[in-house]
Amino acid sequence: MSEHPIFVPFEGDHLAAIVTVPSAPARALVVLLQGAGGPPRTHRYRLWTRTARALADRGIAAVRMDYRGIGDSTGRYAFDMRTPPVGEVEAVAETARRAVGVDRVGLIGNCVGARIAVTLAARSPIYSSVACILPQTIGPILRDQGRTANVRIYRAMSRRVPAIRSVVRGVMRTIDMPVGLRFLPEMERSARVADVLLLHGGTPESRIRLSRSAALLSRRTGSQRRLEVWEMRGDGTGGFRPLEAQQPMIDALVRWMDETLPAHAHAPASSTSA
Amino acid sequence: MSLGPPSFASLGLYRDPRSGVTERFLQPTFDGTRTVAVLSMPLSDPLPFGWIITHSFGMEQVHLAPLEVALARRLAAMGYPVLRFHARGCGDSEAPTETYTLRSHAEDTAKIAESLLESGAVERVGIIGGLLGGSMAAVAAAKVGAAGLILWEPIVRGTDYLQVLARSAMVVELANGTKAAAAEHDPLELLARAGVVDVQGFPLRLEVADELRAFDLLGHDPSPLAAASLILQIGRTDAPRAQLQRLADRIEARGGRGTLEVVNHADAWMFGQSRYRSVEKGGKLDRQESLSEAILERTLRWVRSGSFADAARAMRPA
Repeated sequence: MSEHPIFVPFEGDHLAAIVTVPSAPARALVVLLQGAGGPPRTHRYRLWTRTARALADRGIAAVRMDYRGIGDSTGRYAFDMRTPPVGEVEAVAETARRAVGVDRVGLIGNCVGARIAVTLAARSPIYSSVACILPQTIGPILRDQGRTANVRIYRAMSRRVPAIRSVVRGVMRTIDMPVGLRFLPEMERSARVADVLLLHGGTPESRIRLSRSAALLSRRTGSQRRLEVWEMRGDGTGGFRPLEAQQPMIDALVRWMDETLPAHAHAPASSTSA
Repeated sequence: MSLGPPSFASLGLYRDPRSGVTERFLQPTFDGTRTVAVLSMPLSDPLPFGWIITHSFGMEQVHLAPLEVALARRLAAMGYPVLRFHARGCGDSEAPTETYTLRSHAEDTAKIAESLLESGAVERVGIIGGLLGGSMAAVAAAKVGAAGLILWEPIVRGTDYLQVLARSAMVVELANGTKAAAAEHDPLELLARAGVVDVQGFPLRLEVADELRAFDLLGHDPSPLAAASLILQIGRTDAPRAQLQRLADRIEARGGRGTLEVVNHADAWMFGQSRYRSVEKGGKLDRQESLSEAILERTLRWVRSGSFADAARAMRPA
């Protein structure tokens, strides 16, 4: 395994990234995408550093990057979930893909990284596998971050009359129709063309709801691609904590990519993108 | 026309005429394991005085990084070569997280300072660090005979820091409602039994805890800590803290020039903590922007100040 730190030019700035390359020709490349809120290319607790090296052990290259204004990237940090930095990621992913010489790319992301992952997978068949890490909330892959109309109504009412919050909560539960989750359009499109893993912690109820919604989505799209929900083991509300939850998460991500990306290295594709 | 695949070597650096800075990735080796470093240089006429920036522990490395990177680039724009790096077991280092110790951190800092000197690019070096990084900077400065030292809220007594780490571990677990039973126990007791404890997602090993218990910057190596030193106290009062004043006095007593300055800022409590908070409609805001600017301004003012600048100018090539 070897690692290659690079700067990728992007709109007048330079995005720092590290490409991890296995000793043998790479089967594919995986792009590792952390959430907003400042984690650098290593992610918190060196999660991406560890994931990249575990992927290399399976013959899969990886690239981890600093978003603009974070870590060693230049530029000013400005973040908005409605306009995630897809262009930045695309620039780094394409540079790394061409440098490594592969024609299939996987995407792993949490929070805004998950949103970017499904967006890119929806755009191009080069991105053939996605893993969305959803430790607690499923919001990143839902329309309006999962804030459905009844949730918005509940919040508005409970702000005005805090005393009846518990009553409103009970009423809203009873009238909440058991329909599927409203996924982002990009999530739906990516599920048609890529293998998608939703690695979710949350509660047993949220995992059931997510699994049922994913099954509905699969039936709706008629896609033969894999769309699966795996349980992310961990205790408490802090993503990627406690310590003992981190390695099982890395193992699950590596297993997914190992199963869904090409089994062998191919001859490098031409440099033109699909 | 096909340009062919990009080469890693060609992508390892950039030049920015707007800022007057060029940066290059390096991959130094510590004890047989590689890590990643960034060398920031002015576009022309570098001074023969270089700076090393050494990071703090655990998530503090992440939270302080924006400040350290900003300082590196501003110093480089002023003419100073600056080298920042990841110590063994941290960040992009090849070494596993479990290999980190205070000893290895100080050794790596000293070694990278020596390598910058040996490269011939500079004639003297200074070392910079915040929190535990400040402590490591001070230890390494004594080893290599650094000519400059900048310490942001350095950890003077390791036992104090260990208590802070233990409290933060307990607070996080209580806030998350996790391991409620374990949270009732002193994390240091858990550490003694299990050999490792979870500090906000990072492993704090017994070996490192023992090093912290034994660490006292005031009781350290009797050689001068550095020729010209800035100790920056970051708090919500103008009154210098006794511990840091004693550190500055000790530097003076050993023949150095120790300056203690105070950054009195309402957001001082955030130093070393998470920077970004959520705002409306899915945005994120850096809540430490004002504090960081205050720290940078005070630091750079000292670098430009009489005693230190005179020494640097005296070394400029003819």
